[in-house]
Amino acid sequence: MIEGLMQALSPGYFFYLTLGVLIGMFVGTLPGLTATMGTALLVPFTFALPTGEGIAMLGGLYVCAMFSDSIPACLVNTPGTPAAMATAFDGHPMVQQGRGQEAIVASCFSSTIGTVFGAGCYLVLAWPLIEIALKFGPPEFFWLGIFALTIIGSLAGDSILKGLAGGAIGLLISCVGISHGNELARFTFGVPELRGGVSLVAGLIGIFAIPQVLSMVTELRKKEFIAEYKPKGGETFKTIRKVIAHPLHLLRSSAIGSFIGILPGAGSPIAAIVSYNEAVRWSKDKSQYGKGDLRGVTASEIANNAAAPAAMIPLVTLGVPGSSPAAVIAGALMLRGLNPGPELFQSDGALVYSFGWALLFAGIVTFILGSLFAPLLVKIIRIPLRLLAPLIMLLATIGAYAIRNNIFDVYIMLGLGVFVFIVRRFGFHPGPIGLGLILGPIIEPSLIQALYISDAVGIGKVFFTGTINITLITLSILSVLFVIWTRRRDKKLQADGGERSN
Amino acid sequence: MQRLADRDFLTSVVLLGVYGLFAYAIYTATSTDVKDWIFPKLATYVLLIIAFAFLSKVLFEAILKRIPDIVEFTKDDQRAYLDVLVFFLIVLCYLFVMYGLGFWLSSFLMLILTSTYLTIEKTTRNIRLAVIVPFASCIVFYFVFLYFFYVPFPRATWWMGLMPD
Repeated sequence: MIEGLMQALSPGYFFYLTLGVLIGMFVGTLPGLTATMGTALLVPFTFALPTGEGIAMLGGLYVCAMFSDSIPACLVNTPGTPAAMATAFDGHPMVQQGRGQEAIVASCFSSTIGTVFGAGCYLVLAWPLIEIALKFGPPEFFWLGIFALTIIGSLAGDSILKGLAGGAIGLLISCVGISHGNELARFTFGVPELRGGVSLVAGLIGIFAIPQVLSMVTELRKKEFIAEYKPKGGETFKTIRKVIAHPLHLLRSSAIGSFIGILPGAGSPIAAIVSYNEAVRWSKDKSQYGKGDLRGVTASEIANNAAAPAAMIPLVTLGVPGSSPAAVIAGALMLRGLNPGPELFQSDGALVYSFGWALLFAGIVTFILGSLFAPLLVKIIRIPLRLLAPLIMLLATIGAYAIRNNIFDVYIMLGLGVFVFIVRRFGFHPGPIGLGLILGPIIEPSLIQALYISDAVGIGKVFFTGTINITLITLSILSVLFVIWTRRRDKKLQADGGERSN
Repeated sequence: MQRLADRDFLTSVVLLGVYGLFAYAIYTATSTDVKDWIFPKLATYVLLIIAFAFLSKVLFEAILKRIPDIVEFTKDDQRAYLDVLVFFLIVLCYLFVMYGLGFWLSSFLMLILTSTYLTIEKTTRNIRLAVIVPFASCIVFYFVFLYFFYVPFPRATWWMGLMPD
């Protein structure tokens, strides 16, 4: 471990790590360009570098993209990557309240906390954690997805039924394409392009960015900018103090992010959603969530960043990548003749540990660069709406197109965007629809696989036995009951308040 | 008649529409394996139940003669939605001409047209901005996406060879 630290501290290593972080900042900020795409594009450039430096550069990009995706999420309500969806729930209202710099700095600082925690797990707890993660099979993933779905209760806005309906619509959209069972084309309506399914990135841009652009158009006769912004001195330190004022919240979000990051296939978006849900559940004052609560931003950002280094744990211990960018990094290692897994740990332990340290330092470099650029980035909201709306539309088109080089994804994005724009007027929140779209590809394959297993041993034994299953089922039920209870209590409090004011 | 613009009534109509779209595909499918359809079927059932819940609520409130929650459409809203319609039509035209003019020229035209249309106070300065900003943005995005991210955008087919990409 010490040898790895010394390697990671060498000037050349640090230079390439910082370069990776800078590229990651750029990749995450542009909607549609995911960390996976960024790492994949960077792989050829890293061949000219020694293995350690090349892999550190990729790790730096991955970690920083998990922060910088929150910048468009906060400023223009358009998540840079799916992992920043939950950040937008509170980040954008903060910007609308003129607290843009606070939102970006909080996101940056919490990303650093998450990365450092996740990298710490990578360096210290890799083997014990992987033993728990290995116990997750299809039924456990199914229940994890169901548990993540219970966040609808926190996102639904005024009507929980509309939230549920939005979630169901998102899940249905995620079913478009080839089925997981018999590879049957579903919901393609005779359109061959739909056989490939709805691109997650294009779908999320459609659900979040397009209604936002159209709302800007409706509002430009009333206001010139998204929000007023006046730079304040000492904002960085004030925000840091606010973030660290909730140590339990930080610890919980980091632990959730790190654990979910280890589970192959779950990844940063699920980590952020579950962490946000738990932050709401454990909070004494839930009323501010979704309206610009700093803890909403930190819960999501800590978890999605903790999940990034944690996704490397199954890669270096078992050779199984925990996320898509981790798979690209695995590919980069294999192209150099190195096989990720226990062998690599034994044959080149210094490389494995230096990578862990690199991820940790990437978090710190991200904070330094992020807080330096934050005042500059927030100035985006000072671009007049009449210029900003068309520019976001162009970026959304590029983002939706670039992910699969398919113009049909742009049509899907626009269609979904118009649909969400209309139903928002009826009281729907885009969050549950996006949530369904993200969770569908986790829940359905797990359900199908578990059903195949249950053909042999019975449904009850597959779904309702085992400590993890029982824990997740209990948590899901408690989560639903808790939502019902808090909604009733809030309604009662509102009614009491109304009576008193009368 | 006013109840037709009730928020919950419109919600139930939308949900029934989405349900109909997906349920039609489910019930006309040839596969008989339950595993192919169990998940979307469950989701459609959820939609159907919620749609009927809203419909029942609207009926119940009509019987009790409660005031409906109307989706309002003021004069300002009408003007704002006209802006949205024009903006959206320009974007649709942009997608249509993209393969003819090439990605970047059509993007530049879309940006100029939308920015100019959305500029309410058409002063010389504002119009100049509505041209300069799209031009500069297109140049920057062109180099970033083509030479850094290698995104193969649609090329011009109406004047092939005359445009770079």
